[in-house]
Amino acid sequence: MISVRALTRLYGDFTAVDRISFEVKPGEVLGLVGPNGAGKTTTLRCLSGIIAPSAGSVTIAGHDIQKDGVAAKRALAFIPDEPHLFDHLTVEEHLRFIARVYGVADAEQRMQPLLDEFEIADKRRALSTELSRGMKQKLAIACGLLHEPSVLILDEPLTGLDPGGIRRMRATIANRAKAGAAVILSSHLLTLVEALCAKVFIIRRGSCVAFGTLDEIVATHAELAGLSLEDVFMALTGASEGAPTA
Amino acid sequence: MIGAFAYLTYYSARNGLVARVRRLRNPRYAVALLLGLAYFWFVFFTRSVRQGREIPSPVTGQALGILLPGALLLYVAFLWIVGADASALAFTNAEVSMLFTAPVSRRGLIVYKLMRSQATVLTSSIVWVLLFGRGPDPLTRALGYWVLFSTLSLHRLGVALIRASSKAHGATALRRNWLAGLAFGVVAVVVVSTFFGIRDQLIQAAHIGDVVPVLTTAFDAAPLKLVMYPFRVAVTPALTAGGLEWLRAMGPAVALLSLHFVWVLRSDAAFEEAAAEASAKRARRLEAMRFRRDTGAVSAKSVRWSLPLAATGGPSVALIWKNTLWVMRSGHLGGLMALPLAAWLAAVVYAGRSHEAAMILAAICGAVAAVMLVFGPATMRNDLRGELRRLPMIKVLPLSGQQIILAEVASSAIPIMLVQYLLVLAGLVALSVASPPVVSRAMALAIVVSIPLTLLGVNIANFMIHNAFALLLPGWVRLGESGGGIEAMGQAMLTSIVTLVMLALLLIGPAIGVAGVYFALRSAVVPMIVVGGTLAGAALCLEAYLLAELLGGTLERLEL
Repeated sequence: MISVRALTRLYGDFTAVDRISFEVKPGEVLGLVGPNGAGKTTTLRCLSGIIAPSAGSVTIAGHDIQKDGVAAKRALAFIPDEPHLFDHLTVEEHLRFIARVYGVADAEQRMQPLLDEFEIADKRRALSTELSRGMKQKLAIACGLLHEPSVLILDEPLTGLDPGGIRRMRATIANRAKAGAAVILSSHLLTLVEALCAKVFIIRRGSCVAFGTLDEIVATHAELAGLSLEDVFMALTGASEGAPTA
Repeated sequence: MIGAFAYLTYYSARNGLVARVRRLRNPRYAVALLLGLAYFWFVFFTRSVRQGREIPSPVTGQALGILLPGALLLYVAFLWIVGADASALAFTNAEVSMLFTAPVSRRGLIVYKLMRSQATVLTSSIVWVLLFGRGPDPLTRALGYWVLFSTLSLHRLGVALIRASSKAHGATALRRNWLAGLAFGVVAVVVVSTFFGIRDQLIQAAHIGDVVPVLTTAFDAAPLKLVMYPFRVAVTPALTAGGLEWLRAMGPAVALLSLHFVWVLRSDAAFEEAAAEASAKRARRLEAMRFRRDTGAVSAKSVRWSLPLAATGGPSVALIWKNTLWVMRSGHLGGLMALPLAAWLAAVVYAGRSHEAAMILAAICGAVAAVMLVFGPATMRNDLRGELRRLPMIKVLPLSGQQIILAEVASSAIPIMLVQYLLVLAGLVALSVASPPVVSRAMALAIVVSIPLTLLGVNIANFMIHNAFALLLPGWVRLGESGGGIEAMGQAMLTSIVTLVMLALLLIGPAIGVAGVYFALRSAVVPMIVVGGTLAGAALCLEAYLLAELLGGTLERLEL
């Protein structure tokens, strides 16, 4: 469903992403984790067609994002960490806009359940500028889910959500995967990643540090046996340096 | 604390200047600066200016002595009544988070605000000296303007504080600021009663020259003379050419400035809350400007009107729908429709009265429609230029680059084209109802039928060029966050020149086609108009379509 082959992205002389490869099958949730500046967002932006890879390829639902971008994007939903919305459209109009762009014929039937799921039904006629940060995030997610994408790419999706929203979002991600969607979840909340993701891709300075299930990763690093994802992450990325001591 | 404020003000200005100088290494800024400087040189330092340009004679002397204090009075009245003073209290986000949380008194914040406003006051003083004549002693003239603008700046801040206080404390605030309120009330009563006293004389005045003596007499008589005294005091140094007379004028002006300073410092207001609110508004306005959108935010009330959008059909229509909603909700629709509405009203009321009136009205309609071709793209940026900052949001949509470009360009071109069409129709109505009619019914019908496609073609091509410029050279279209000043002026000039040249190139093909039609059908005017207009419009649309195809890949590769 998502296939990444030797993906490389350069910014001038700086290599932001260096020959990374992975696959995410239908129904799988992949956790993309790494320290700040590791190349997570660059990877996700390449996957969603916002920026072009310098080398390598990205295939979404069988379509190369560079060669057949429109078909690939039709199967995709990208939800960035910062919700980008149109200031002059209401909540409902955002969904209508997305429905037309993706050709969702039964949009009317899908809209209400989504609005209810994200608890923004009573704000349906409010401008996006009238929404709180969390509600904007919920609207951005609802827009992403309206066309029932087979590939879901989420960059820090829980930012700004209240505890109830976080719980519902976790359920939403799990349900979408159960329904057959391939999901990539980038987050610094390692407990969330550990709970939701079957596989983890740990990236550091643009390169893959580890990829696989937690058991697979531990199997190749005997010294990490029995550790939680957080401890594994710290050990593999060197992020423990400077950590407060008990 | 003053030292810290001075440090912040000085280093902000210095670093801003250094950044501007440093970026001149980039050719786009260097060329834009050179063009801007050339423009300034042309405007301010041509030979006539070097000889010492003075304000043109019709507005000097007696008239100026009335007009300037009068204008000042109107401005002050506007501040008090309308209260367009939010920016007077506004701080940047960094200032709010660093200064409001620091142990700085309200008075300290006001002093800081005044210090920061000096950059604008000094720049305005220099520009006004350059614009309205330096005379024999430009330095004293500049000092006069500085006192005037500083007083105005303080007054603006003072009014903003009183309004903020009224909002927060209601009647209590009015009691606290009773003196300022009383002063404003007295001025308002005197001005209004004087105006009603001379109303008949003003109405009977045949020329603007006849108005001046009426106003002079009124301004020289009590009680208006007394009420206008502070306004006269404020402007006199700026109108006085050096010497002892200037020194004598400066005394009361500086005293007035000092009084304002004391007034502002002593004003009691919910300053922090009002300033925080104004700062938030300012931040939203800046954000809107970054998106090249209207500075006035879309109000919640505007969502009462919407447009239907079917869930299926051409996906790029959704972009046009979205952009059209913005035109409706941002207030642009009213602004756009004002011109054709006025033209239609004038056509209905005046055109039938005389042949000349109809001709003048039609000429005005035609001229305004033509001018919109040049200025339309500058005012209507409801296209890719407005979307560049949210490009990632657009790029994730399942639309090809060409689809996005065509939809975005159409979003801007169609509203302008409709306004032009309505103007042309108003002109045609005027010519048709003139006695005798200037155009035949057949010719009018030919224009009505053919002009929409012609206008659409011209506008689509015109906006396509502006969008192509933005896509190919985004840095030239937008000079970064801190873009402004002379470079921005030079950059705007450069953009205008290049886009006009490109439009001329695009017009060559259709013009040749129209010339062919003219020679083939010159004996039959009506078919010539229909065929020529349609052909030109279709050719321009085709050129724009091909250009969009070429640019589609560029958009898909564009990263900002």
